[in-house]
Amino acid sequence: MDLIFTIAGIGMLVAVVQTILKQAGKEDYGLWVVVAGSIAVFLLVVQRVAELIDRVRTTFYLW
Amino acid sequence: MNILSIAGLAIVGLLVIGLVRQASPEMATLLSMTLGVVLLLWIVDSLAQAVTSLQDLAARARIQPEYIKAILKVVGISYIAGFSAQMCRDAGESALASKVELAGKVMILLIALPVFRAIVSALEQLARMSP
Repeated sequence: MDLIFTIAGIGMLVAVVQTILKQAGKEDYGLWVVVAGSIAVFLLVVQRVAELIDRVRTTFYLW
Repeated sequence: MNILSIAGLAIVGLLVIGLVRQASPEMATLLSMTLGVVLLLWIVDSLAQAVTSLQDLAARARIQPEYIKAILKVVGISYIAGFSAQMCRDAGESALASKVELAGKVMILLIALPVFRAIVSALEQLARMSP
């Protein structure tokens, strides 16, 4: 539950920063903000995915 | 887990994803992935209980444990493959999703083949016994 709101918050933050950058006329930095935000969120999500796959592995005797 | 909390999480997640999608679509994809992972983690916990009682039943019926393990492996593979294929399809990569599904089918075939071979050898023995 915490994770979902964290990701939503990061998404909102990225959008706000992008809008501010657009207002300041530095739109080329916007892409990098999106990339950094996506990587940060992806690192959070990947841990959860690993947890899920590990749980499935131990439950169903996979490898 | 409680079905009400799962349904509530799905509905809250729906609203949050709808809000975020306007701001940044990439985050919305990641968010739906996270929601899927959290929901499946809850379901796996419940499924583990069903698996243990299934194994108990199989042991009582004196079914060989390797066959039950093969069935469980098939279920696990389809679980993981279905999850990742749905993620790919959500992100708009349906070609990638069908590749993942194909990989899952091949893995299931590999697991099912030894069982099939056991059936065939049992049939061979039967055919040899009858004059």
